[in-house]
Parts: sequence; C-alpha cells; structure tokens
Amino acid sequence: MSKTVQADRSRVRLSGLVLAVALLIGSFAVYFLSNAAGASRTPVPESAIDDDLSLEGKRLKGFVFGAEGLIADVYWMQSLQYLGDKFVNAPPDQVISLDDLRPLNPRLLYPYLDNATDLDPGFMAAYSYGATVLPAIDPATAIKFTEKGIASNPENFRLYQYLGFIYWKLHRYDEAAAAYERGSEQPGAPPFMKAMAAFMASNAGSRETARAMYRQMSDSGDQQTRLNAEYRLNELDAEEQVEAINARLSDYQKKNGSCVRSLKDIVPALGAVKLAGGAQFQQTAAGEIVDPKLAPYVLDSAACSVHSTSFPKTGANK
Amino acid sequence: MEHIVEIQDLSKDYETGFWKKKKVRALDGLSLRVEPGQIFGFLGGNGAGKTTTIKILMGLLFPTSGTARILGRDIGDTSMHREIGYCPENPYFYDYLTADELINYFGEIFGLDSARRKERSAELLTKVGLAEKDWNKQLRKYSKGMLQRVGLAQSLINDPKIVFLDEPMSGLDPVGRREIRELIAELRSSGTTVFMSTHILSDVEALCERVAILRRGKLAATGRLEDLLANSEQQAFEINVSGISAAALRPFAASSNAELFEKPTGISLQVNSETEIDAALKAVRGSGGKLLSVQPVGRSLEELFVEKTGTA
Amino acid sequence: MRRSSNTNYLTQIFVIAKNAFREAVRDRILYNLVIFVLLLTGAAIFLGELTAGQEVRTIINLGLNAILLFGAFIAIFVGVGLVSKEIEKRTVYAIFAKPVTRSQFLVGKYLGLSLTLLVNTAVMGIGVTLALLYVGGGDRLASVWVAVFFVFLELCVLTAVAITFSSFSTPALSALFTFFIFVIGHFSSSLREFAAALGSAGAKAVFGTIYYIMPNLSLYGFRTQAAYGLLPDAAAVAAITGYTIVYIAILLSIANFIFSRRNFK
Repeated sequence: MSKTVQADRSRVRLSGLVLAVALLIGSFAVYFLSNAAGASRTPVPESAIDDDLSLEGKRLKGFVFGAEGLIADVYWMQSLQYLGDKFVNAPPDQVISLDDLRPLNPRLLYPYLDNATDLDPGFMAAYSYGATVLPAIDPATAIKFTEKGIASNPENFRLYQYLGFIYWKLHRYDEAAAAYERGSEQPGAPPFMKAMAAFMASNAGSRETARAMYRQMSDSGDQQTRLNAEYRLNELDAEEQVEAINARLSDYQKKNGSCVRSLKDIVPALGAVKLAGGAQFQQTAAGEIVDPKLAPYVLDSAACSVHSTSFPKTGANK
Repeated sequence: MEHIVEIQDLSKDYETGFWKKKKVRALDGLSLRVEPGQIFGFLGGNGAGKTTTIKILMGLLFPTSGTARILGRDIGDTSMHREIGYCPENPYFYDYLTADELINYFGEIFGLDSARRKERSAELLTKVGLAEKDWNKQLRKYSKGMLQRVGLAQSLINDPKIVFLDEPMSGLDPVGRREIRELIAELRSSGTTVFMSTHILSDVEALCERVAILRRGKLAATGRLEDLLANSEQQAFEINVSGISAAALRPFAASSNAELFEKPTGISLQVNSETEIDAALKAVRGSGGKLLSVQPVGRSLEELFVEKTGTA
Repeated sequence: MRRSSNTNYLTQIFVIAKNAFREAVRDRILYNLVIFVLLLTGAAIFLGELTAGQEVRTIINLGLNAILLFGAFIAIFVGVGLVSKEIEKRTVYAIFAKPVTRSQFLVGKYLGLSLTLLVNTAVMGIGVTLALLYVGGGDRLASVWVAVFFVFLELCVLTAVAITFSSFSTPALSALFTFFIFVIGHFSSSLREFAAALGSAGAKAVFGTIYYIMPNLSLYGFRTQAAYGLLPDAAAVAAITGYTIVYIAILLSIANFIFSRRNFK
C-alpha cells in the first residue's frame, strides 16, 4: 500500500522534473530558433525598405475616436526617428551636409510630416521642422508644406517666417520679402518680420541677414529647429572668423614673404579685429585660437589659410 | 384583512424554443388563500409550480393571467415589500460582500440607520446560527448551508409580517435543519406568517398547520394538514403482540382482511378500523399472545403526497 | 419598529449605487489605474527624447486618449454585466423582494458605475496633471480638465448604451453592440459629412438619420484641442452637458421599459 503511494509520489515528482527540463529546453530552442529565423529572413529589396507607411493620415481623420492629436504625435516621432536613423545608418565615409540631405534618400520624411499635419493642422513643431529640413531634400515640397500650414493657420506669423526662410535659402529674395511682408501683417507679428522684409529687398545675401534669420529661428519652433539654428549661427561666426584670420594671414605673407609658422604669430593682429556684435576671438590657456565650438583652427601652411574642424563648410568655401 | 395572501386564478406560461415558440403552462389557474399567523406549507414535486408561484408573488415573474394580493395589496405594489420577507431557493448573494455587509446593505434599503443595522445584523446572524467568526468572511467562501442561513437572516431584516421561504431546508445538514425548523416555529409564535414551499415532508408534518399541494401547476389539495390526512379512507391501527406465531393469527387476518407482518420483536397486525380492534385482541388472547401496543397508523403524508402529486 | 424606516425613491437608488461602486472596487477594476500611472510616468520620462521637445502636447494627447480607452473598456465590459450578471447569478431575487423598483435598481446600478468611472477618470486626470507639471505644461491644465470632463461625459453615454443593450441581450452580444455604437458614434459625423460631400440623396438621408439616432461621440473629442491649451466657451460646455443628460435619460428610459417587463426565470 505505502509502496504504491511512494511510487505514485515519485512518478509525480518525475513528471514535474520532465516538465521542467522540457520547458528549459523549449525556452532555449525558442531563443535560438527566433534568432535564426530572424537572421535568415528573405531580405526586402533596397527600394522597399521604407515601404512600411501603409496608412495615409488624412484618411484616418474622423476615424480614430478623436485621437487625431495622438496619431499626429506618432507620425511626428516617426519623422524624427526616421531622419535620425538615416543619419546613424549612413556609411561612415559619406559626408552629409545639412544643406543637402538627398544622399540619405529620406523620401518618407515629407509624407510623415504631411500626415502629422493632416491629422493635426495646427502642429507648429512639425511645420518648423519641415521648414528646416525639407529644403535640404526637396525645396518644392518644403514650400508646399509650409503653404499648407499657412492655409490652415493663416494668422500665425511663424509660418510666414518659415516660408520666407525657405525662399531666402533658395535665393528667391522677392518671394522671401513677400512672405515676410504678409507675415508682418498678422496679429502679434513682431517688428523683425517687417525688418526681414526690408533686408530681403536690400541686403538679402549678407551674413547679417543670415544671422538675423537664424537668431529668429532659434527662438521659435521645436528643439530640432533651435539646435539647427544655433549650429548655423556658430557656423556663421566661424565663417567670419576664418575670413578674418585668412585676411591677417595674407597680410603677414605679403609683409614677410612667407606664411606664419604658428597662428600664435598673428594673435596680436587678431586682437584688433572687431567681429560681429563686438565679439573677440577666443583663445585657450595655451594661446591657441579656437572656433565657436572651442576647437583650435587648423593652419594649412601650403595654402596659408585656416579651417575649422567643427564646421567643414568653412574650409570647403575656399 | 382576512387573508394575508390571496391568489386568484393565477396562470403562467413559459415560452420555450427560439424559432418555434412553444408555450409551457407552469401554473394553471391557481387560487389560494393564506390566513395570517400560521405556517403554510406549499407542497409539490419538482416542476409543480411552487417556485413559479412564489416568484410571481415577489414580482420576479409576471403572471400570464390572474391576480394576487399580499397584505391586501396587489403584488405589483412594491411598497408592500416593506412588510414582507423572501428567501429564494438556493439563495445566492453578492459574493464580494461579507454576511455582515449584505445584511447592512439590505438594512440600508429599508432605511435603517447604521446603529440599528449593526444591532440587527448581529441579532439575525446569531438567530440563524452563523458563527461569529464567519460574519466578516466574503460570501464566496460560504457553503450552501451557510448561504441558506444568510438567506433566512436577510429575509427577516425588516421584521416582516409574512415571510416567503422557498425550500428553506435545502443544503442544510440534519442539525442545521433542526435549528431552522426551530427558527421557523419561533417566527410563528412571534406572530409572523410563514409561507414555505418544500418537498421535505417531515418538515411539513413538524411545522405546518395548513398545506396546499400543487400538481403540474394545478392545486391538487388544500386545507388543514390533519383534515387532509384524516379525510382519506378509514383510520387503520397497528397491534403489536409477542409470544405467538404468525400462523396462529392467520385465520383472523384472513377473515377480517387485516395485514400480518412478522417483526423481530413479534407479530404486527394491522386492522382497517377501530371497530376491529376488539376482535383482533380477542384472537390474540385466544391463542395465548401477549399484547405489546396498539397505535393508530395515520395515512402517512407521504402516501397523501404521492396520491395527490401523482409522482408514483 | 416595523414601520420606523423612512426612505424615499432616491435613498434606495443611492444605496444601490454605493454598492455597485463597492462591487467595482472589490472586483479590482480600479487596478487599471496602476497601468495608467506606469504608462504616464514612462511617457513623462522618455517622451522628451522621442518628441524633440514636444512632450507637453504628447503627454496631453497620450494621457487623455488613454483615459478614454481605459474608461471605454470599463464602461463596455463592466457596463454589460451590471444588470445581466445579477440576473444570471440570481442576486436580483432578494433585491426585488425588497421595496426596490426595477427602475431604482437600474438607475442605481448605472450611477454606481458612473461613480466608478468618475473616480477612475479623476485619478487619471490627476496623473496627467502631475506629468504635465513635471514637463512644464502647467499652463494647459484648464484645457486638460475640460477634456477630462468631456471624456467622462462620453463614458457615461457609453455606460448607458451598455446597460440598455444588456437589459435585453446577452453580455457578450451587448459588449459587441456597445463597441459598434462606440465606433459608429465616433464616425457618424464624419460619415455624414462624407455622404453630404459625395453621396446620393438616399445616402444623405441614411447617414443623416444615423447621425441623429446614434450618440454623437465626436462631440466629446476635445483632446486634440486641449493639447493647444484651447478652451470651449461656456455655451458649448452647457450644450454638450445637456445633450449628454438628455441622451442618457432616453437610453435609461428604454432600458427601464424593457427591464421592467423582464421575467426572472
């Protein structure tokens, strides 16, 4: 009697053990099979990689239980993520300029932003981001997108500012002036809108105009736009500094017949230079001249000129 | 008010089936009167219509035809419910409440203030024999018998004039059954009318003054229990003797059509009327037997029940 | 002692509502708040990274829509069981032998769940408020609470729909029907506009009828607006509250009409 009870118990214990072992083996198998299956999936053709955008935002409108704002946020986050991923996944040797993002082929950026603003036509951050980034991909869509924003929010002067900015980047100064003019007529538009309209007519290509442009961008819009504008402002400063340094370098060369051996040789001359806004050159403790990102300017003795490592454009300008 | 419950020509049809609706008559022209101050037994086999009747009285079902009044008021008048109590068959209550909370909840419905509710809850739960340690247990942990007791307790929360108990003994063990039996008897002595349906005949015999027997939705018999039982054929008697063999009494049994049984203690002779007792005793003495007892054999309620309900 | 009790019609409704609320609490319905709080906390912490500084509007959108979603789940799945569960479990038997009318019971149960939803919605509203204060969106709080109030009104309508269906149908079917009404109620105004734009006269008539018969749940959509800190004018709030009360009254009258005629076999 007790023997059979014991036998029963050990059978129960055994079956529990078998189950535990089976579960353990099963878990491992699932882990490896899942990885293997994931690794051996048939690759999607290159052209279809971005093809997962199957829904059009405007078609969702009215059919998402009043959650249009939330879906717009999702498209917005996707648009940020999308471009971020493109940057991160770009081949390391590829040089990407903020002025031309076409090598990344971010063809879905506009649809994402378009969807976000279809669902939530007042989504200002999306317009601001679009105005900053889209000109570097396809200026026509950038203009179309911003005009759409104006159509939905005709009283928001910011959108006219963005439109003016896009036209200015395209060197279409008349249209830029017109956009600023229209914007300045909107309620609550600050005086600089009027001033920008005037700049466009007289002095559109100058560095001063560019500075004013980016300064205004930096205190509007979303974080992305602000960072971009701040970068641009620093870049403009670097450009100005590079020009000033190069001028002093050529003065020195003319006077002494050879290029300086070290930038330290022209520090006294640079001390007399008045930069925009009365700023001065910045120096490290060791006496090196540094750009706005505090990286020392690099002297190219052969060409007898400098460039900034932080702002590749300053060297390329030459 | 003469009658506390008056049922007049009450019928109820149930519809069954989804496409082809078939009507099943659960109650068929029932008329019944219950006088105050007694325990009224409502008898019948399964499906005879006992529960249907009580549910109609409680407003849970609507009669197909007929009327009924309780305390002189129509059963559609909910205000009458202030003065009645009801314990359903196999009662079930909110299982997320404790017994104490349930009684309090119903007390609130009757507008009792919290001090009164507290007092009443303890009083009633004690009365139905629930151990105090169970009062604050959720009802989901209650056994069938315990739920039955809670059901009885809640039916008495408003100190009703009449209480309707549908199979109050079901789910109870023999001890519990006796306790509830005592409780019901106590209710009567405190002036509460009890209308109880049951198919447990010993309870009926122990408690009920008047009964009604239902058969397939119709009233088969109603009246005082004694009358119903006596009303049947003549009274039989059982005569128990010892010291003689069954063979000695056989001639008498044959002549008077009495029945003869052998028992471990002796012989039992069953005669069909009082007048035959003397002759039987003579026959016993004549053959040298010793008389042990003579007792009337009532036609049992069981026989009556079987006869009226036609279940056998 | 026999007739010492003094109650009126509303007392019993209140007692039943209180018990329905207690049932919801004991059934751990409010546990969904925990999930909500976790969701919102996570959002408040991580959204800043993901949305490039748009966390205020995203928290509002996410929070308010989650309040609606969680609430709709409760309204539908608890709502359809409010009455039918009591019939199925036979707990109504003892109730209706007490001085309680069917309408009192129905309204009491309805108010009990509405109270549950009110507490649920309010706690979630507080959660959104805290998350907003954390990310510096305190200036939108008034709009957010208007939107929370509108969500609550919508949930009240949804509960009434659920209880109405369950007064004559099975819980599973009632849940399905109520969900359909939730969907159609949100789409009816879009469908009507759609039909008006390109439909035939027949389609216009059909969608127009649906629009007025179905609860117009798109009226309660103030969540996207709340993200902009907008406020509706008082007349709009009054009109929508009035609409809600009238619509619920109609639904409960229908439910009561059916429920009062039900036999509890």
